[in-house]
Amino acid sequence: TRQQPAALVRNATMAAIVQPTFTIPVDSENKAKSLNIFSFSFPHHASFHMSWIGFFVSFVSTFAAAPMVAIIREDLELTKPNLGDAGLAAVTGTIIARVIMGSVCDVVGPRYGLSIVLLLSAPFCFCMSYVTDAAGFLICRLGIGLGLSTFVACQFWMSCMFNGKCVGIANATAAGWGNLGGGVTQFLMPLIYSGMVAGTEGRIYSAWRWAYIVPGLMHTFAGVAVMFLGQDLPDGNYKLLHTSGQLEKKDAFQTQMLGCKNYRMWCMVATYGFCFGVELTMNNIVAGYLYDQFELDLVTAGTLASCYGLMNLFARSLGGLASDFASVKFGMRGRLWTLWLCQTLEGVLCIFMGLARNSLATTILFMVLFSICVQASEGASYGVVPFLTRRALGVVSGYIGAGGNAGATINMALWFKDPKIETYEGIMYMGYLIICVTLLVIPIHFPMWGSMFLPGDPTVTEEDYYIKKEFSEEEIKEGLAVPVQKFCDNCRDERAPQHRPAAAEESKA
Amino acid sequence: LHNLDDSRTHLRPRLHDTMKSTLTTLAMFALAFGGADAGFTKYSEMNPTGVVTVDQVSGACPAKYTSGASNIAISYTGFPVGETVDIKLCFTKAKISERPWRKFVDIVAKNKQCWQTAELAKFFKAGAYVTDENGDGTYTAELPVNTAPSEYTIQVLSKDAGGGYSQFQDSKNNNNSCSIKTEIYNNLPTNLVGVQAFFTVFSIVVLVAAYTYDKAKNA
Repeated sequence: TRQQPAALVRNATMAAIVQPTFTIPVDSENKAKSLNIFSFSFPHHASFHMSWIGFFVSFVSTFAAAPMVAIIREDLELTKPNLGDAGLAAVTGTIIARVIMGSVCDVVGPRYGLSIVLLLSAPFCFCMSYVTDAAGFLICRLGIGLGLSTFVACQFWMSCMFNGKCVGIANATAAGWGNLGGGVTQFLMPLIYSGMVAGTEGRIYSAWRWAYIVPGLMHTFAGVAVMFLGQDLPDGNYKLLHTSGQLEKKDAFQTQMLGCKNYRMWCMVATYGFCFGVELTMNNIVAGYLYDQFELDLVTAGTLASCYGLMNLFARSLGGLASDFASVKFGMRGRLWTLWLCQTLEGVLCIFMGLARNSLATTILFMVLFSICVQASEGASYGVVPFLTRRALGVVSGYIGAGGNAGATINMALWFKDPKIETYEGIMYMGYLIICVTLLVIPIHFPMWGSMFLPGDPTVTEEDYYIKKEFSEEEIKEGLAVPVQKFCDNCRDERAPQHRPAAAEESKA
Repeated sequence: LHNLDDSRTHLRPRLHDTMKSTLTTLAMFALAFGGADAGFTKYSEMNPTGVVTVDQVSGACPAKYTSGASNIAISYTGFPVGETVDIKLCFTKAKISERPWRKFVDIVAKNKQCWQTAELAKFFKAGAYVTDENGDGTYTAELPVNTAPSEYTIQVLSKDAGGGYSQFQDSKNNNNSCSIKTEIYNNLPTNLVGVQAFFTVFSIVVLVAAYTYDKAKNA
């Protein structure tokens, strides 16, 4: 009798909900079966565009200081350790934010997560104008850097909207275009700064402060757009789906524990730290490196530095595409090999970039190739992440995203803070470390799909991994695992080709 | 060479070449041992000679120089007569510590300790003055508007006719010279403060309003 009112509310809500219809092909979970970057269909592609735009804006603001560092360091009398600390703060503060964002996505949805973070970090952009010393500079970069947690919401959102056949490329493209902000800002901010110099009659120490108004406004408008133009899930927003009972109301602590107990997540945390973390590190240092090493002017150094981040336009998608293609041929093992190959090559090219310190042309060449491999590795990483867990996907995305920032923290602290280590030396040492850490892809093993060197066990099913390991018997009986069952049905193609359902039916026939 | 008899025509080209190479060799030796006309490119090749002074203003050393507003008055003695001097504004040792972009480099043209990098300027004034017959000189100039707030000394370098440096001296070696501590103009004008404050508040208001409206819409 006590349950009747709640059941009545749920049934009434379900009756009131108009079953969604979609203009694009969807699977049994109503996830899109393909990505069309020119489409704005609601909700899949509208959410795709809102997620990458929101993430893009956070990258623009987080690295807005980097191309203007030659001006800022003189105005605020900063030392190399001061600059290193501020760069560290920009990427470290968001470690915790990304972990929290994972839980936020699981509990209230990626739309709120992304939009509110953008709006919360906007004031820090405006307040950068008031900074007069190293401490203020650090605090503002820390606050702005919290916006990088939008990455987690972005990836989670894409994993909710696109199915296994295209989740790799959807994740990669959204994140890649978002990361593009780190490259765009390298030439955009010097241009804005130049305009402000003209507007302040040549007073450069006022001009850089005025320039920060642009990222602040971008945050504000993007936050509002994400909130009103996106939708959490194909079937509706979280609030509605929770009320109707279509979506499990997750316990934050429980999902945290579920994610943390998965060793594969920790392997990916480390490896992602040395692809995405390396990208963040390079976004922090490359403009200043080119400016000082080759005595370029600010706009030229910024333009060349932007080549690093601009590779995101296609390179991250390339990694996702390669991951999806390898999956078609070899299943999950193909995805893992793709990741290892891309990231090891990244380390090699990083070393070469450091070695090329006396030639600008050679440095730029290796920088571009290095950047392509960095971003392809990121794309390949998020071709694997959606399959680590279903119930705690937000948490896992959050930790791995945080691992990216942790990697940036480690690299900045180890190689780019100590005045005794030349920047080109730091780049080389970073390359060696990338190659070593990438070896952690090897132990990532899925019982039903295998790992790089070990095959999967065909007797273990996807249900064994995603349902029996993550739900209790009572929860299964309550029907909480029904959405996950759909996922299991859709991801059987991650098996080796000879063990796929289509192959099994053919052999029976 | 041109008056050689035609009967010795077959010997003329060989003799011409020999004379040419001999003259070239002699010229190279002259350059190598000429010294004064060759010029130096490194600080280590020169000894700091002469005296450079940052002069007092109205009988006292200024506590601070304001960029874009204050003048720096420089005088020097004991420099080669008739040579042109370049003047550099160099960071003090304390202000290059932990700042590799200001590091000292022995090659004069590449010494970043004396470069202003925010708005690139390798000289305070190139070709500032031609040293008079007493070996003295003076120069006064306004501190450029975008000079970074820091501590500086004045370095005077004398250039010979060939463009190489023949002598240098720094005001840090003169106890009677004023020290140069600079401050910049007001880089936080009222309009900047006002506009950014407005947008800070605006973004917070937008956050609250948007969230409230969306919650109500989805209730």
